[in-house]
Amino acid sequence: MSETGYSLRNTRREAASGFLGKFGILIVAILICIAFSAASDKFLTLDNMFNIFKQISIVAVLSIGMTFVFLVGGMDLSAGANILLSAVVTGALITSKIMPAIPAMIVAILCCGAMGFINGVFVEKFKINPVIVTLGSQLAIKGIALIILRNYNQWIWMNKDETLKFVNVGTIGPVPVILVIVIVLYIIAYLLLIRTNYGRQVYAVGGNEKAAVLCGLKTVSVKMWCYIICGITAGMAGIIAACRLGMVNTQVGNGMEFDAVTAVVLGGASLKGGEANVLKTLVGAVIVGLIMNFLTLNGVHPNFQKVVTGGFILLAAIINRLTIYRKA
Amino acid sequence: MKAINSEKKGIRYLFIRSLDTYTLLAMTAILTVFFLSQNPLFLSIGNLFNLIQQNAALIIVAVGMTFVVISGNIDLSSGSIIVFTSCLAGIIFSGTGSIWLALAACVAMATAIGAFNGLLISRLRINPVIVTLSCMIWARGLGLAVTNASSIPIDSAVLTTIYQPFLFGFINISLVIVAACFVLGWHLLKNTRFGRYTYAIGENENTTEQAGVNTKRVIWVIFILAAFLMGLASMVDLARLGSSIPTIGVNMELDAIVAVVIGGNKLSGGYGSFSKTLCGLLFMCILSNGLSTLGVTDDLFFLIKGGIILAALAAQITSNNVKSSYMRAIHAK
Repeated sequence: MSETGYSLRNTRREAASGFLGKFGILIVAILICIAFSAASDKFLTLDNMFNIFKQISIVAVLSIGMTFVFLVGGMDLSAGANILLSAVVTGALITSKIMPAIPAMIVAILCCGAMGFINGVFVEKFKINPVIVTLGSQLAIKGIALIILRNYNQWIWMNKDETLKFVNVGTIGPVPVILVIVIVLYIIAYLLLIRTNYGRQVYAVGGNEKAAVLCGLKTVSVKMWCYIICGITAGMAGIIAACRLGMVNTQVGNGMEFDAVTAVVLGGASLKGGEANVLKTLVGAVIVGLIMNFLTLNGVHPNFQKVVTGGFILLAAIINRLTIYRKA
Repeated sequence: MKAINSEKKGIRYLFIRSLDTYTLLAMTAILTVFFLSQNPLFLSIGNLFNLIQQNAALIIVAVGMTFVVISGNIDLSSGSIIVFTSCLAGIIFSGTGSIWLALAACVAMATAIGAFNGLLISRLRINPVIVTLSCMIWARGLGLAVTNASSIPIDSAVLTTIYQPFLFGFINISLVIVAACFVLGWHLLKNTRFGRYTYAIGENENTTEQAGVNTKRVIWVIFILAAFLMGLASMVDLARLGSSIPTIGVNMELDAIVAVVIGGNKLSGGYGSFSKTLCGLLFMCILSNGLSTLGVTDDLFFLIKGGIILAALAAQITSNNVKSSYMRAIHAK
């Protein structure tokens, strides 16, 4: 009796956790939306929705790269500094009239990709713990950005540039450009992970690296590309930040890596690797954005928002632990 | 067997056996010579004691971090716990005027946070990186929020006596605290059952548990110990600065972990010792003290420090790989 009871309970629990694991995060997001729309009747208007999406666009784009790094069991804490670097490089190139906006953006993204490559070399070639590497490279990247910024008296204004202005306030039909960019990037990332060989390899390496090696995968290069992708998406996030703010100062991107980690962990990723999904990450990023938006609207001080961010990462990890049933 | 024994007597063997330590010492020597060329007083007795006092908090934190790292875990919360507890001490002092209450609250709060983190890590089995990362964010945020990011002066005779030399004109209570933490930690790791369990858990947690050790409790105690030492470090820093400043402890977690890891303790656990931590601390203390005596600006400081840390870690890991492949070749003979 006990045996059947046990297995029955087990399958039920498995089914329940499977459902929660798949849709739990979406349910949480919908519940938050319902609660917010009950609190304010302006919340569910289309304008406000677009507005919120514009606000969370930076974290949402950054979270794409963070998902890739989490998939191979890594962590990138230098992403916030990369945002600063990309925004500073874009701003410096545009304001000093070296090149127009689009090439400047490409150069900035390539710079951040190179930083991601350096992270990847240290993590995968030298086998140093990713947390330490990226904490150290975060210092170095921030240093580079601040040195450039010092030549411009700590502020770069670029609100006169037409391209940047178009990205910030322009619309395609009724939809803001930024929203289109975010959605296109997510579709690309989703297709890359689900439909291509490379995506399968990322899941394979993250799930069981030894088995992946035995299957003949070049695990080191697969993992290094994840760090490069994280650098590239951080570069894109930095450009979006530059467009939205119209200027760069030392505070751009500060602490954003934590928001991205929160989004990815909320999306059910495990630090051991092999478990993450960009669509769930998007929902996680939306939740983070909604809550930050709510706190800002209610005048909660940024320092206290940090407390909420920290608490949220922990809460997300505990929820993951308790709801997602993992076979021992 | 004979081949191994004859090989073991060679200079080459003796050299490669401690290649990682030699690499680190060579890097430390290069740094020292460079800073000495910039500042002839760098190696004076006065500056050396200054070096220890400036880095007293780092040394105390690194003692606890050694246990955490050898047990195969990681703790990113040190800098933030120091900030939060020192802000708490400042508020309690300005509220009640009692320095003893403030210091006790400082250490007690740090220990409580460590107990909370340790509980999540050991009982709920949540990844230590996530737990301590979240603590790193919320504790700093709370510290900044409760003080409004402004420093609180603590004017107390008790704190000034901590930095008053009472022996030979340079030994003061903070040096004694640092030395006591280090020696006690060394003893605890090397000579006690708790230290053995720490190594065993780092080597293989499942096997240790099957051997009858209450691994959950040991991991919990390790995190409590580390956090208690962070509380002490916060206290020493309070005494050094004479006020609770919400901007201290930035990058302390990085410095402490790097000091432990660069000395040759393995982050994967099960391997390491306090002599390695000592070498790593020497490197980090000389690096940060030397850079600050050079007077480089903030942005350049970040770049140089981050770059040197990454390069040193890479050199360290490479020499470690050379060493282990050589050892494997010898024992395969």
